[in-house]
Amino acid sequence: MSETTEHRSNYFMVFGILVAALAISLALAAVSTGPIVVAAIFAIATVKAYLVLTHFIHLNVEPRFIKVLVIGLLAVLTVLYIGLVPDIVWVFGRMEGA
Amino acid sequence: MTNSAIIEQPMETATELPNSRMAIWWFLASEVAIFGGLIVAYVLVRLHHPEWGEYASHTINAAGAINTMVLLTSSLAVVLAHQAVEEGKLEKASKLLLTTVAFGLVFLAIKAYEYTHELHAGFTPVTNLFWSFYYLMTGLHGLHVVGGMIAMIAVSRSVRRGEHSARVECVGMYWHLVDIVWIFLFPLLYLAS
Repeated sequence: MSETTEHRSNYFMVFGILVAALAISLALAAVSTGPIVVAAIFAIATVKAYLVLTHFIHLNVEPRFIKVLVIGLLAVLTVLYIGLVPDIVWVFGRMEGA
Repeated sequence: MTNSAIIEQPMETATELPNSRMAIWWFLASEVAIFGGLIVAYVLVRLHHPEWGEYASHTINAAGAINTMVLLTSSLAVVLAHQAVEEGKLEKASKLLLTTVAFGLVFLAIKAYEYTHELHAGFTPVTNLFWSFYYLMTGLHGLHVVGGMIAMIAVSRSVRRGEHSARVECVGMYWHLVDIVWIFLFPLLYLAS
């Protein structure tokens, strides 16, 4: 805990950014639901998740081992995503009633 | 060497982390695999089903947005509880944990309202694949909220007695992950319509 004490974030400022990001997402969704806007909304969601991960869960002060664990996990999910494309998008996605 | 460093020394392990934090990180990793797998499957299937946008338009954006705000605020409360523990303010930490539980209750109440509205409109888990995903992902997430609330009540009681204050950080890390999952569920199931 001493590490987090030394590197403590300004939690209220991070919270303010998260709320502002939510407001921007809602405003974008109200304007349009086109692919670019949807991509922007997910980009904002990713930034929000990053802020929570780094400042609230304190990943920014964890040892490198934990950062490798998180990055490795996300890499596995990416491989899962790519690996499932042939089955789900190309085959299952074309099934009637699927 | 400071007094705090001397106190924390026995907790350190070969991984440079206290065992409790190491354990919670592995637990969070398993949770990411569960929700990540679900989200990946949902995104992949949805790519071939543009009509799901129409289904998603039946979810209540305002309720989802309020719930996002509720969870973000609860995350702030729990991280402040952790900060209070670091400052030795255990009573304050306990109260902040219970505040987080209250936010969890609000979240579940809003979710219950949504489910009622959607079920009355005829959208059940067997209506089609979109609603199956919707109920599965939000239901599983809701169960995690309930689990977090139960854990937080237990930790709050022990912290009030001056015991196991390190558990505040662990339960907080879990709660933040629940928050992160919702951060992605909200645009996936509500906004991307």
